Amino acid sequence: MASLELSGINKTYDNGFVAVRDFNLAIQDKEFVVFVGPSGCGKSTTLRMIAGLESISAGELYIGDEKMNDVPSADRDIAMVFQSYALYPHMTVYDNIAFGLHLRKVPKAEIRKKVFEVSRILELEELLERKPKALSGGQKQRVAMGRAIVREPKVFLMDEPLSNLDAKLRVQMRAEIAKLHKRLQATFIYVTHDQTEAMTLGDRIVVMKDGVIMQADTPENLYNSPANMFVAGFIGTPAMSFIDVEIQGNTLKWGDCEIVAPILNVNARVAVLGVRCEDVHITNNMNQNYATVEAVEMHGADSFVTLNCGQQMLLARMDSSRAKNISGQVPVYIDINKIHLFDKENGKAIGLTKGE
Amino acid sequence: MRKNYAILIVLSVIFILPLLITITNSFMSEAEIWLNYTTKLSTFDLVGGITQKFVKFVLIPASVTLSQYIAVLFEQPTFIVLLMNSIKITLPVVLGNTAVSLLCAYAFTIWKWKHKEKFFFVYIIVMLMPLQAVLVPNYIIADWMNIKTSYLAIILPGIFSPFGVFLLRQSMKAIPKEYFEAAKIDGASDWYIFLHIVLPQMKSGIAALSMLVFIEYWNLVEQVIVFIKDYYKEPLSVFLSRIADGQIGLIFAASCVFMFLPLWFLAMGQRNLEKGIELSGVK
Repeated sequence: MASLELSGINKTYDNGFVAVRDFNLAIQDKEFVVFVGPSGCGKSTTLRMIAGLESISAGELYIGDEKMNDVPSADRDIAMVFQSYALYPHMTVYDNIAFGLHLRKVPKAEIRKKVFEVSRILELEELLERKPKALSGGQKQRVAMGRAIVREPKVFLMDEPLSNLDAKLRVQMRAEIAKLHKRLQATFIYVTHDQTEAMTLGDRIVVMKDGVIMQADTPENLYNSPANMFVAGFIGTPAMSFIDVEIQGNTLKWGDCEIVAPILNVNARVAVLGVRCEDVHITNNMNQNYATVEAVEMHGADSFVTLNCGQQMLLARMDSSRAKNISGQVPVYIDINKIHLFDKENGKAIGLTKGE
Repeated sequence: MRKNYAILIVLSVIFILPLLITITNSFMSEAEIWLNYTTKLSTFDLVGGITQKFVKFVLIPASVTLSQYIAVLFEQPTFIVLLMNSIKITLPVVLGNTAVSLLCAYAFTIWKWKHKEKFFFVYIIVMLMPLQAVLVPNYIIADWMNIKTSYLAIILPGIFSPFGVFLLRQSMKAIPKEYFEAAKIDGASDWYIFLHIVLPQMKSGIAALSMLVFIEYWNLVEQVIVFIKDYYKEPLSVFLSRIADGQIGLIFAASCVFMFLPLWFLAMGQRNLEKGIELSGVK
């Protein structure tokens, strides 16, 4: 198996468009890394450069100890699962899975053994004689996985493999991919635009925007200490609420609201306050402010309450049983130990001394 | 709706009538054809003071006979020779043009190379030129190559005709590029991808192209008149245009035999033809 190292990777297209800029990342052996970001952020391009489907404009790519910049895809010992699955329509499931092995001149008997083994793992035994046309979306997805697994590559690359499935199946396949990663003990690099997928699957998540890494860290760290406003807003559902505030000493003020925060080394007069919905409590507290209820959205056990707090929007999560009766003016308490503060100019996180 | 049907029916009748006349009249006796199609009816236009002459069309023969077919197929050895000539010209063009077009379309679709689009633009320009405009340069080149009077002067331009590249490139574009990428990662060479992934998915495109090329070269006239000087080397298409002088009694059966192959191909592959043209986006 293999570790990867990407150092100073750049991708510039012929028309001058820079898709990926100075991408630095070390991926450990057996790690599950997820590239996530909005469309056009360069995550797929980066994956395709690792796969050798796009040339690398500048920088170095190592798989194991070997420099791979100019090594053809076939010799990089990788397998890729595509969003569209790319199952050859004129071949049966068996032939699709066996395709890569045929090309590598693996003896027929061994191919047979391997294909059957993989189809057992993925529960495809009944489908081996079928053509892709006769498969459901989930089955096609499984065959695409099978085609990658059977080759036993060092690195698995997956380009939005679940985006073509319906929501329910996506959750189910997500769990299967996690199981597969454990079982195969291989390095996985996974591209998605869905932050839930990224959070649930990744050992480490690389959040990208406009071709640049915004933050690369574990899901917990991304959620609890986002490095900038983009990551803070991208990770977590519902998205973090942002409030423009004035800083006066240790007090953050906006409209007729204010909170006292444990601030460290801030010179700015203004900043952006970030609050997650679970850290907003509609309850009486010493530190409370008042807000008006604008809307209540029921999501089953939890409800999300949109509050107008000092003329800015703040989202709070609360128990649906309590949210039912809520309306008008309510007391709001923001947990000051969980707040985030960002520079208004460049969106970078400002250091806070947390109360922990 | 009913009005639309009426228009469709009228149009269908107009299109089918010549075909129908040819088929029914092929069962006419030679004598009856002479009687029907060589006597011209005259009408006198009072206003213009001109006499105009018409031939009357007969749909149903007075007596049905196979004598025309027997004469064409068994008593006229030249007819069979000319039929073979037609095949000798058409078959290499169909096979050669399909093969060359497939390879060329692959290079234009899958490979990434500089000035690809510019080259393709040249192809389209050449394709848009009418046959008559290309014929003179063709003649000059054939003269250089010393193949002026051989079938090669017709076959070679046919094999390298750009239309096939255009048609097949359009339908090859419909193949998702992930297929090629997946195969590449699996270690497939271009040749392997071409044979095992592209070809099986190009069936309709290949069928459409070969049928269109077949029909074009089966009905060839101009090139033959320019290049082929010997009467016995002419294909049937040219012969048919001359048969009316002198051998008019055989014209309908000869036409039917001539039409048989294209119609048979069309019937066999109509679904592929439609699908192939649809996929290519050429309409």
